[in-house]
Amino acid sequence: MPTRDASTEAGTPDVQTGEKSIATIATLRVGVKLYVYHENSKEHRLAEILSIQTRKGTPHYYVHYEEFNKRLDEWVPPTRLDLTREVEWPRPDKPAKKPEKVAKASTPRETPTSVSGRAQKRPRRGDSLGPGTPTLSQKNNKKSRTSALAEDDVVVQSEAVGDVGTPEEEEADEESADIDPKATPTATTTTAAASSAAARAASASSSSAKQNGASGSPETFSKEHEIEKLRTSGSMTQSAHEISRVRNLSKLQIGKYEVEPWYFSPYPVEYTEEEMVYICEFCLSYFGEERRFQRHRAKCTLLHPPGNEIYRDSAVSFFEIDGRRQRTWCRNLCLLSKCFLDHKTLYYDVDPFLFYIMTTRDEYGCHMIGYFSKEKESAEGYNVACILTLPQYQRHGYGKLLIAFSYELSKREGKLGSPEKPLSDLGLLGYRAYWQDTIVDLLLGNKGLETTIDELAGMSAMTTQDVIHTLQNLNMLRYFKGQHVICLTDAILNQKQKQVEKQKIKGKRTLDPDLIQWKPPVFTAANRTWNW
Amino acid sequence: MTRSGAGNRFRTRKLSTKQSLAVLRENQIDSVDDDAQRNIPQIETGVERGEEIEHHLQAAISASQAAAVGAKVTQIFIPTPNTTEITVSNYETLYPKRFSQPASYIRFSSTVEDCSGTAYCMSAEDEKFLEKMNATKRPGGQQCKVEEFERIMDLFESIAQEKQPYMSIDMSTVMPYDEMAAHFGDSLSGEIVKIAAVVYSHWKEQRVARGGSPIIPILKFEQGHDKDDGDPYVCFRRREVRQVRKTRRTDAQSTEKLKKLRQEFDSARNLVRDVLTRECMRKTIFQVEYGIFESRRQIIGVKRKNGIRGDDEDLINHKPKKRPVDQSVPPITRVPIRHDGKPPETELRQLAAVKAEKEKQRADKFQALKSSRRVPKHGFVDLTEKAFSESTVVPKGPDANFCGVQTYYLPSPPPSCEGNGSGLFDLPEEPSGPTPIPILQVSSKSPPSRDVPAFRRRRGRGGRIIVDRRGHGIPRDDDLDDIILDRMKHSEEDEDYSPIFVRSSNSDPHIQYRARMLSPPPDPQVNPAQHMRRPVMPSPGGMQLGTPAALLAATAAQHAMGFAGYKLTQHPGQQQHPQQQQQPNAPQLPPLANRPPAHAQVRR
Repeated sequence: MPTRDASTEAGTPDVQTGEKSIATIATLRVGVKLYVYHENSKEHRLAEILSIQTRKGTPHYYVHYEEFNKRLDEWVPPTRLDLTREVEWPRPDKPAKKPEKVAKASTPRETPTSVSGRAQKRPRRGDSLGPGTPTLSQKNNKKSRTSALAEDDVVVQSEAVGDVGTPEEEEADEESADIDPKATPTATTTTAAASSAAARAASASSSSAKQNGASGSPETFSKEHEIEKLRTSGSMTQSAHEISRVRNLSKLQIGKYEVEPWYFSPYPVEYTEEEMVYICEFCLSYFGEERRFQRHRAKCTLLHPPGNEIYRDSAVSFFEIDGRRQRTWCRNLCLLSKCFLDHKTLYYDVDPFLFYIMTTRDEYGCHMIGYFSKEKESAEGYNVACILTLPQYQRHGYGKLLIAFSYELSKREGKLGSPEKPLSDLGLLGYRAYWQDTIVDLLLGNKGLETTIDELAGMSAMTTQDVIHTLQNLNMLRYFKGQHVICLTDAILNQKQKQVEKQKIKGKRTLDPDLIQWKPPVFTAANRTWNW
Repeated sequence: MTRSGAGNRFRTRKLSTKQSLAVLRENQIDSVDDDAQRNIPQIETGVERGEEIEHHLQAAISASQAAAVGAKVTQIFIPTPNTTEITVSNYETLYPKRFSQPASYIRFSSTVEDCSGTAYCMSAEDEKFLEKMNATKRPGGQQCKVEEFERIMDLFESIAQEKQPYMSIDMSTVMPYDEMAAHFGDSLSGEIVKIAAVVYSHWKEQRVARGGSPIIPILKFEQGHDKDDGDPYVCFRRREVRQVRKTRRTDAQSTEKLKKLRQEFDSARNLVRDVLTRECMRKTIFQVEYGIFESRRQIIGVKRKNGIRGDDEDLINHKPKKRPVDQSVPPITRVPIRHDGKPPETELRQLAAVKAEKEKQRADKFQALKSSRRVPKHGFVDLTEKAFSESTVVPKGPDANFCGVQTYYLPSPPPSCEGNGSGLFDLPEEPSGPTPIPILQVSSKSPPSRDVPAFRRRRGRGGRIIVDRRGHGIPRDDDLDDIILDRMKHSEEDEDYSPIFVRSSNSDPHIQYRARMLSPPPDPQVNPAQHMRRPVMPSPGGMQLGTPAALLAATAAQHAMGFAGYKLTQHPGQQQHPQQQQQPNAPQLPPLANRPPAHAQVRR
């Protein structure tokens, strides 16, 4: 929840701001906020260190720029840090909060005896080496990336807790044990890495909870609440786990594209060490090693998404895929799309979703451009759960096509729909653009001079809320002579005019609803229970 | 959705989704009048609060808002990490051109596993091993192909996964080759098994290097305890099954289903058993026939030996003579049975035919009735109106919805009151009940005259059911003077004055009322069920008294019971009568306006 912290911080700086002072490379640690040079905007921006790792003897810092989306988080060398300015230290935990935290740690959902036992068994290198020894990180140069990251974290972590004292340290440990049950001495390097990352994460979460001036319990509650919400339906989560703050894959090769992932995705942890993860364009299987991938390609016969084609025009096709029937494919799809969707969760399985895949065609096969998933039964009337245009196809107008298709399906179902929340920034812009287009077209096509919100909603399959949102956002809802009116402003009409001209030149991507061969799928009660 | 914004100077109307909104152009709107966007609530963007303030999103939003008010802005994109179209040198080899689009929409249901062959894919390291292994092989020996190698590795992996799923926890005992080989089954042919023994060492090496985990990393699934809740690498948990609400009905349904299943299984078993019996009998027949054949053969031998001639008839099978019984039974024409269980086509009747038949029946009945009436009516003038017509006209006015009611005392409480009777008609033969209970009879649809007790049910506010009654008091004497009445109205002030009530308990209405209340119940000998079917004649003048009470008793019995027991669960009267009224063959009854109902009731 770095963003959430950031937001509250922006709102009330005096409550949030920790101590400020000049720092050196050696004293930097996770949680510190400092000015970092951002290459694209060519300026120093305030950023928070989320992780530290050592490459070739120099530490690298994974930073999150405040007020920038997480997808712009990056590894930076120390040269880009501005240490001439004061840095902001993570807020030390107040002793007054401690009893609460301890009480929380021994809540019934964990068994205190086993937790403490495990916590004691786990070797803590940070302890033995003492706080703030960068020498250790240098020793571990040759270690793989993740483990190096882990070592550093442990060091940094111990330093961080060293400020506060032992009780807090134990607490962090307990939490990590709670989070990762495999944090036993026999664990392999990878799990150790995960567990130490968890330790960092846990302490980060506890500190962030304290920073918010709230005890840990609301956060725990919200997490449980979140999972409870996910239990029966839904695909979005808002309280992502702290490990997932750091992007874990370096690069993806999909078809003929190389793509940098934007966010964390729970591919097997082994793949985080790979320079490149190879993804089969058609079955979306993932491979860490090129030879394996080549062998797979020699065997794989899939040439299109493994479902029924429900739409085809000259440019694109849509395939419908049932998560229950194509579990592997849909899981692969979700893993891939998680790389580009921040709030998507893979907490639960794909069974209750249908996936609609948009593809282009050539002689190689049907290449996925993007997709959206949809709950088979949405309690909240969502017609889209997750929606994504793959990065290599973005800014080509495909997003709008995907959105349009989702609304066409809703029209067939005779329902009003809305995308599941929260929307991402790109999602919001995409939807707003589509909504504006749709509403303005409807109003211009409207022969009569009057309409109602309900009518607009019915014709577009948008919820009334979204219609109002759009009208309001475009400054089209006015109050005139004692009643509300819809005003087609000159600006909107100009925009429309320009768009039409542009489309004359560039061509416009449109859907032809008549080409849809689709009936709303009906699921029997037996199909709707999600066990297998 | 639309709550009025706080802090407005004056109230403006809420925005309703159903409200008709004029679509205007900007020049049609007087800007002075356009007083802010009052009381249209700001709807949330749907973006998480923390991210909403992000720099690039805000820039894009403000740009689009600026565009919405007409400012000139360049379109702003939210920056995203790089995507590069690499010229993957081996793309062509990786992805051969082999797709040809079918004319119709693709329909496809094979899974990824179906389409990707052996799950194990050889790594570079495997390849080295394989080359080495093939090189060290004696020249004439079998070379191991990549596909075979992968199959072997896959087999090892799947056996290990199945038999030693927790190898990663306990590395001490990796399944030895012999044990592994025992699980091969027939998945490997003889030659390859020899190779497998060599590959095993390589597999074990790889597996140990992976710490006992599968060689190709797999996703982390939940381990069955909830400790992995927070591990972000654990994904695709099983979703909890939505609890089906348990009700008595679903219980009963499942019981029914189980019973049915049981029955079906039983019948299937019986069928099989019968088949078995039949086949056993057939076997016996064959055995017997064989015995006969053998015996005949012996006889033939004996005959030949001894030169006996004649009596050969016994040695051959004669065609069985058709038994005369068979002749009498006409050959059963097998009607082809339709798959959907419907009666065969030949019996399909056209709707028109059915209709015509019904119409004809009705007409016949009508004619018969008419002719039967004609005889007794000979010499009389029939003054009844619309005797054969169907009275569907629902009366209007204040009398509408009132049902005439006959009250009498039943000798014993009706079964419905006791709670154990099976119906109204289980009345005891001997009327000896101790507590007579008034039974009300509801009669036909046409509103009864005012002096007959009548009920009307109506629905009040909030769904209350109100029963109005009428004609229950002793009717006032008509000779009561208007002046006296007027006097009674204002009688409160003057206490000395006692109002004069002229009353005679022997007046006609009183006697009539009492007679009605005391009238005996319907004749128990007559099966009331018949009366139930018998239609009630709507009397043209709306006179209800003349209708024979026996009929009334039957038709209204249910409703009357409802009243008597103060159980108003049944809809009293109105809805159920029309069908009975509309019968065209209703007996024609002259209106008997003033006849006391008691007479009619029994005599009829």
